[in-house]
Amino acid sequence: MKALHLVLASILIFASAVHLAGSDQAFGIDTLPVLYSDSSLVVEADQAAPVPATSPRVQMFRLHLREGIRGDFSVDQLLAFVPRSGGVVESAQFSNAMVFLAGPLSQGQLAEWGIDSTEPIFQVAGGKGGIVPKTPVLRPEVERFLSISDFASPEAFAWATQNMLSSDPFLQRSAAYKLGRYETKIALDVLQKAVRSSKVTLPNQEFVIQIIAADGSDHALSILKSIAEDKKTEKPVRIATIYAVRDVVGGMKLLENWSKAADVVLQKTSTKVIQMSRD
Amino acid sequence: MRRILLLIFALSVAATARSQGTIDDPREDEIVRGPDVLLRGTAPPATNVVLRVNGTVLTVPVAGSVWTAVVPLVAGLNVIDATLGSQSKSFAVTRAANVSSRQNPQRVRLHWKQGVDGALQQIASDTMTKQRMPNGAIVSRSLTAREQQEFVDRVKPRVAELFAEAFQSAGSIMLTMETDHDVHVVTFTSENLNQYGEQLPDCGNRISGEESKVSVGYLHHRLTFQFSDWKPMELTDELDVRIEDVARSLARTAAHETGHALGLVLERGDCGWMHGCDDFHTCQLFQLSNPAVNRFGSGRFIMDPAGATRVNMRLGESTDSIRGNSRTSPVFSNFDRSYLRFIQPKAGN
Repeated sequence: MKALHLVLASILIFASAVHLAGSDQAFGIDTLPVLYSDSSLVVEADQAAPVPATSPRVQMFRLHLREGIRGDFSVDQLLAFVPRSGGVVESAQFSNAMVFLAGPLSQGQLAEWGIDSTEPIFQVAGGKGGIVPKTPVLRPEVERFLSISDFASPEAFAWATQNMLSSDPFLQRSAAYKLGRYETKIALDVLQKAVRSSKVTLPNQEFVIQIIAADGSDHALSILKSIAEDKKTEKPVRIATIYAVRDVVGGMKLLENWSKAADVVLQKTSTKVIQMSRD
Repeated sequence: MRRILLLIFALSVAATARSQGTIDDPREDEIVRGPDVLLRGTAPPATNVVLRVNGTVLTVPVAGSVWTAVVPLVAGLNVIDATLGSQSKSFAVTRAANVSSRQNPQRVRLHWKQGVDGALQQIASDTMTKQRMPNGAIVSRSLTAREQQEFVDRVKPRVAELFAEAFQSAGSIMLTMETDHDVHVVTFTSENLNQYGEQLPDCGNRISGEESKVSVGYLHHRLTFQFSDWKPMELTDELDVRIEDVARSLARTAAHETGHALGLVLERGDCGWMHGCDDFHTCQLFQLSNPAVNRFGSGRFIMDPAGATRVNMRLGESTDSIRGNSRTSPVFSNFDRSYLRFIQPKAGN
């Protein structure tokens, strides 16, 4: 009877773990530059089948491969896992997706995940962020990005500038991340256009605002100011911009000014942000 | 004349204060037990406070300058719209469910696994490869073995200090050297786990003796893959500066994973009332949809999603363009802090 209780307890703990996850990944993990840095292999998967894992910390899948995009491999299938802490995935998500893989993992790495296996095992980079649904415009642009040898080159900047206004949200986000690394006025101006463009999705507009704020320069602050004060800008974008200003040098002074403004969005949001900063 | 102006200013401030009011208890965005919750605050005398909660309107008389009201709350986020004198306020309160307070403090042990010293030394030597000479010239630099060891010896205690600071006002969490079964272990490993840290969240901190991982190997990978991503870090930084950089990054991850182990920030199940998102964090979308809360800060808060935590925030620097005069430690949001205080109350709370 005691043994049965133990089994039930184990099942309950495991069942709860299936729905519970949390991790600490890299800023911009759902962008091409970060997935590139964290992976050694990029493949196009045909389908995936779940495989029992020896560790409750991971979900294991056998991936059937259609094509390799980056890295050397000569197999038509491989074992890969997704840490549960990076979010739970369904096997259907792998179908017709581009999968960014790190590995094969060393025995030491596998031991940290509690995985016991003699077969080479890969880890999906970025948790579920490393499974990128293939869209018609995505594949050639990913290949173009992967072929760039010098990320400081004009070619790389051109890739980022062109894809900032792509119709694909993954490419938009990836381009924004890349542009944020240049720390030049020209790059900031491209990012500003993205915030004001209807082609860029709202979550990506908010991401771009974060990138501009992280730059922290006077020019970045002036861009954020003009976005926040522009009544033609979508309200959620204005609010996100007012929040972002607090982290920029000189931002608090701007918030103080806005808290006395006649513009209701500026006045209410900046008052809230100032109050939050004092808490 | 100047005295008269000051008097006018003082009178106008006092008049504004009289015409407005406050909600003092509970504090903004804290969790409460419910289902009926006592609200308390101040308002101008001889007025009524109007509260709108979940579709119900309550008119509360002000006694003296104090008002109290008992309001029913649903599990999860409740936004209370209050009219206090001439002022309108939106106030967030979250009613918790399915969790209970633990009697004992949660003890945490920081475990530096074998091999991690080498990974730390590697970080030091790979990120301090240049030296600025007195004449301004920049030359190559190789850290000595002694400097590398000093780096390791000073990073570890600094991580412990910063970790303790993170939990200072967030429940009864104590660092320990004990190895008892109920001690939460944060293991720092040299292995590259392809993410900074890892932990499966535990609603209400029900499971004893869990292990969180912090991957020093991954930090090394990210720092060296593209060092320019880590501004305002420079290859010419001094040893003291780099010790603080790395200690802050590791302590943040350790606190973040421990936060998960204590139950933050769940999206569904027993702790679904936390309204976590973006894989069990507090995210920008929730913040923007609920302006009454303050739970997302692009890295300002410990439980912000890592994918939205800017690298300069990992270093305690507010921007990536210049080093600040002082560093800023990330904190748990009001909501997270009140949850931690609830499940791990300090004696006397």
